Amino acid sequence: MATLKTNTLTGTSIAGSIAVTGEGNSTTTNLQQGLAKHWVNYDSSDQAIGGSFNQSSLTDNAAGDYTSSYTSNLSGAEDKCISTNVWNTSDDASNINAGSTRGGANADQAGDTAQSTSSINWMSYFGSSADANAGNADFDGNYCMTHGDLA
Amino acid sequence: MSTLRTNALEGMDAKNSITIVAGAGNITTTNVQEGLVKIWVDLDGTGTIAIDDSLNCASATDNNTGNYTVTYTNNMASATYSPTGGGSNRRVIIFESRATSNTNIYSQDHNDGTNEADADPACFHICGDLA
Repeated sequence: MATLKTNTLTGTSIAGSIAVTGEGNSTTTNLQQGLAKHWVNYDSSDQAIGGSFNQSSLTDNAAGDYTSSYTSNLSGAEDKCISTNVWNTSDDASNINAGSTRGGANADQAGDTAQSTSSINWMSYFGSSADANAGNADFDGNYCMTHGDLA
Repeated sequence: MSTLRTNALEGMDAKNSITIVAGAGNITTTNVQEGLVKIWVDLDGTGTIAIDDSLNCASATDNNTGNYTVTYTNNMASATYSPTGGGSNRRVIIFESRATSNTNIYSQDHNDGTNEADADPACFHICGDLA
């Protein structure tokens, strides 16, 4: 057992690249690329941020419509990987937000907003049915995570 | 302030295990390798499929509308890893199959859940052990 104490890690050849031995001892993975560059837990019902990382602000544009601005920007507008989800506590899937006649509540990137290095526009919405498309909706938990290269 | 400059990190007792103090109380540790995402991809599934950016992805195949297979550069240790996805413009990412070397995803139109539909971006992350 050895303990290394340091405040900052920097690559020698490339400052932003450090290899880490993988679990199988046969390959390496990249430390910087494997780290989440942004995440947020947002309660849009109460308009409260439960926790976040690398987020300077979150704008609640409308019901189920959010813009997260990064503290440190990404390097490319489209070169990032976003995962989103919702926590539907409002109805236990028993009424309009979800249920046997609807798909589940979900979240994703806004399709009508250009991608950006400095922010991400994302939306949460309830399930769709044969006669009603999924509309934006607020939920108690809305989650967004970003991987990619920092600028 | 101290800065460690290195190109690679290995565990001392086991090469594949490094712990780091990460708890709010400065006591609890977590495992660096286990905490890292091993694969992520930003796919453009419209038109000719393209990988806009990725970690540990070798190629992407457009099987059909909203149906893509992504092959890894370095394989996962088992097929029981944890994938999470995110689409755009009401596209939901469904994982059809997981293998140690690739995964097959469907991009489905949330407003018409029975139909696959192309997405840009179609994203997913994978956590788990490398082979």
